[in-house]
Amino acid sequence: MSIEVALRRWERFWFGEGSLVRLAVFRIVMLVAALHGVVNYRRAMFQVAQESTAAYVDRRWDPILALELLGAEPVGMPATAVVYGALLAAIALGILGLFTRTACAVAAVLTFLWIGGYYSLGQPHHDCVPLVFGLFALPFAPVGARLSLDAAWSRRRGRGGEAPLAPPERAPYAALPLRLTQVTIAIGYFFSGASKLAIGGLGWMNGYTLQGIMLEFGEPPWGLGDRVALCAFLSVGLVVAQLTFPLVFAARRLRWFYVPMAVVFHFVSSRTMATGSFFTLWITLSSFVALERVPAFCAERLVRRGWLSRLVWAPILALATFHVLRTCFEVVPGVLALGLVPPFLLAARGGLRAARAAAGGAAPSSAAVP
Amino acid sequence: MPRAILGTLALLALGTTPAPAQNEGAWERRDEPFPERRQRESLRIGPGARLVFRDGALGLRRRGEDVPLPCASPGGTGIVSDVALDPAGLVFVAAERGLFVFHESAEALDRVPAEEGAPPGRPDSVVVDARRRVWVATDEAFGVIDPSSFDGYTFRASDGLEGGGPFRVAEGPEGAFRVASSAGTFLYRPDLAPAPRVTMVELAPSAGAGAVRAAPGRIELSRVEAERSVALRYRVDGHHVWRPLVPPLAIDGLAPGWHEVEVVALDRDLGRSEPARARALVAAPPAMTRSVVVSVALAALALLVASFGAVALRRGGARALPRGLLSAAIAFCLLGQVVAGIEPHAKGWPFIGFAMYCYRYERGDVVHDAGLFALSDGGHARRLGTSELGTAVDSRWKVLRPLIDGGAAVAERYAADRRARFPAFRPAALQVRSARRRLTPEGAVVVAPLVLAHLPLEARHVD
Repeated sequence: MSIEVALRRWERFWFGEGSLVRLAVFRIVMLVAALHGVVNYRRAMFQVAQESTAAYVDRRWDPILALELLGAEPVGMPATAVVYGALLAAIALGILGLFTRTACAVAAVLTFLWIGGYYSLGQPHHDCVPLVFGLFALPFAPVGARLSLDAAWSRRRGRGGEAPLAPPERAPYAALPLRLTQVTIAIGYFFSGASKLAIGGLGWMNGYTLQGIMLEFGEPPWGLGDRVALCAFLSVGLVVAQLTFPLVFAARRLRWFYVPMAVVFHFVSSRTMATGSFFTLWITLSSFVALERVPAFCAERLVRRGWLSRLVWAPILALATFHVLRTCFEVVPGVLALGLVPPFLLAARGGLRAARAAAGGAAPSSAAVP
Repeated sequence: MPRAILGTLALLALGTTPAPAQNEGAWERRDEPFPERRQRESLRIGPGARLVFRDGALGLRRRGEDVPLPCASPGGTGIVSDVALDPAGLVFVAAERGLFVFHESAEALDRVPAEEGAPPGRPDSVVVDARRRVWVATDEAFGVIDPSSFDGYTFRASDGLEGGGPFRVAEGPEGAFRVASSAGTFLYRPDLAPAPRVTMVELAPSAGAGAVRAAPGRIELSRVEAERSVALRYRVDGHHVWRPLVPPLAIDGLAPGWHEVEVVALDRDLGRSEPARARALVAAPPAMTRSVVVSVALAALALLVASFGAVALRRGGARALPRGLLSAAIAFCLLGQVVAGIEPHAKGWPFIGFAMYCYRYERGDVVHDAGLFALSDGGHARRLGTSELGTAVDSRWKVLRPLIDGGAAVAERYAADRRARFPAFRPAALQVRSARRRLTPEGAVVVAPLVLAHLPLEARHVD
């Protein structure tokens, strides 16, 4: 491959046209993930700021390299409160899409400082790595072109009395944040698998290792603590899946295997290991999903297709919504029920329409699909 | 060469002194015969759980029902000769095939490993005192074990122990112990001598002013002196495990930066000195020093900017330059992540690498799961979340370690703060406990936990 060809592919990959709706949804998803991480870490950050750490806590400031180079030290109140407030405001503006690019840039910088500061009090973790890279890439893309107050305002204004501008569908640089997040995730999974083999050797997959790691957390569910052979099988699958994850770039269809596998892996590990929910990494897997097609996808399976499809997909989507809401917001169970309702309502609505259409001798109209 | 002789030579090389002063008044010959072994039918070990004794074997009764009591060690326990209950709830069993430990939360008896200084031989009798020291008499030796680490000390003639095996031990009056040997019956009173003391800890190479600049990844203890001690232990950076201090005195595998080494001296009764502390600055490997990392990163970034910028200018003129610079930034991010994946370092976050959970477990290994427990007066244990007071950040050890080191005072403070948030919180004791599971082909077997700290509280909860 000549350098010229390589450069063109590079530029097409990073700066080529992409769906603006997908970018906008991704912007909102990433900022919600940032909000989750920032709010989760607030207690420890405010304790340090208020110097209210008790005698029974061992807390030392060991800054990450970036903060060390900046000469950053833990700050007291009210500086921490101001930073926290500014961060929440930037995230909120970014989600709403007001001064979108500026808000995303501010959110990226402050999120990096907030999470980096939290990690400097304990030890850094891996779940926020794709989030940070994705956030920093957002301002370089036209993130405010759709699903934003900025876009609504500029379309209403139009130009010199002409009709309001039609919303654009695609634009250059729109894929940049999603691509950078995708590649970061792929690098992470690959080196996770490679490190296990390089450091632990092939014996890492002996079954006892995975069993032992789960047991460090407590009693693993589903009898995994008693099944060495099953753990060995899962170990092989885990390492192979991690090592081969970059194949998602070789064939798009492989995403139908690797992305659900990653989702299931992090769900299972959150239940069986001391890794935590890895919620932010989980959410960044949405970079592989055609987000703008999700509503039509759900409607297709809940409304247009037959009962079997509704029976299968309604619980899946309801549980997925339930889990995301619970993990992200730790909301009370009553509110969680709200997340269960829409998929079942849609499925019931589709079923009623199909029944009426069958009774009337006609197929359900596709115009009924929301 | 027997370990005891090697250990003695090591101690002399380290500059520790034997402790003849401890023998004054510690031993008293008794004319009465050694008391007969107490015959028990059962022993309560926890809420609803009893050990049942039958013809030299142990059984378990839970809530009135007899259940099997297997042994996690091949070959079982053999004939059981004695049992002792620890204030923290552990049960120590002296048996034909060794010393075993059990807990009401365990599924099987587990052999106590023969760690540094533990008395060798076949155990005959066992006593646990109020300070949770496990006194063991075997057919060869008499000694004491620390149940939080299973290391200990074996008494010698220089400690005032007369005669040889077989030995027996039983409780005596007022905290003393009856010890029988081939020379007769004696009353041993521990803790009479002044506490041991570490008088010098010297790290190498010295850089003056109390600090040491050590080699990459390593700290060397060049000299340690102590008074009234028979053994030394060390730990690094407040780790909860104190390790035996034996030559060669080098601690490897340390991350770059400042590290604190603490050394304590132990006397024969496992009395511990105040820790002596020394600090050392462990150098980073030359390629990982901050100046090199930052210089290389800046050089790489400059090279990428120059390359992509030049290409952009050639292909599209000044208008394409921003795209070239962005390409350089993207390439820098990807290159940094790949380099971190090969040479991970946590301080480089978000260029952190992904070498987590790369260690291995093998068959027979023990998996630890440490936690904080609240115990009621009735012995019920409830695990507490260490992050509920917003304190643990990312590691439970940031709460567990201060509780282990701080003792009762820190435990009371923790309990008071927790009670302020949860008013019904009034346990009889806090316990830092490391649950253990032994990995076997048939699955993980729950064995007795390590109780790292047992902290009775003043405010009590009654079941």
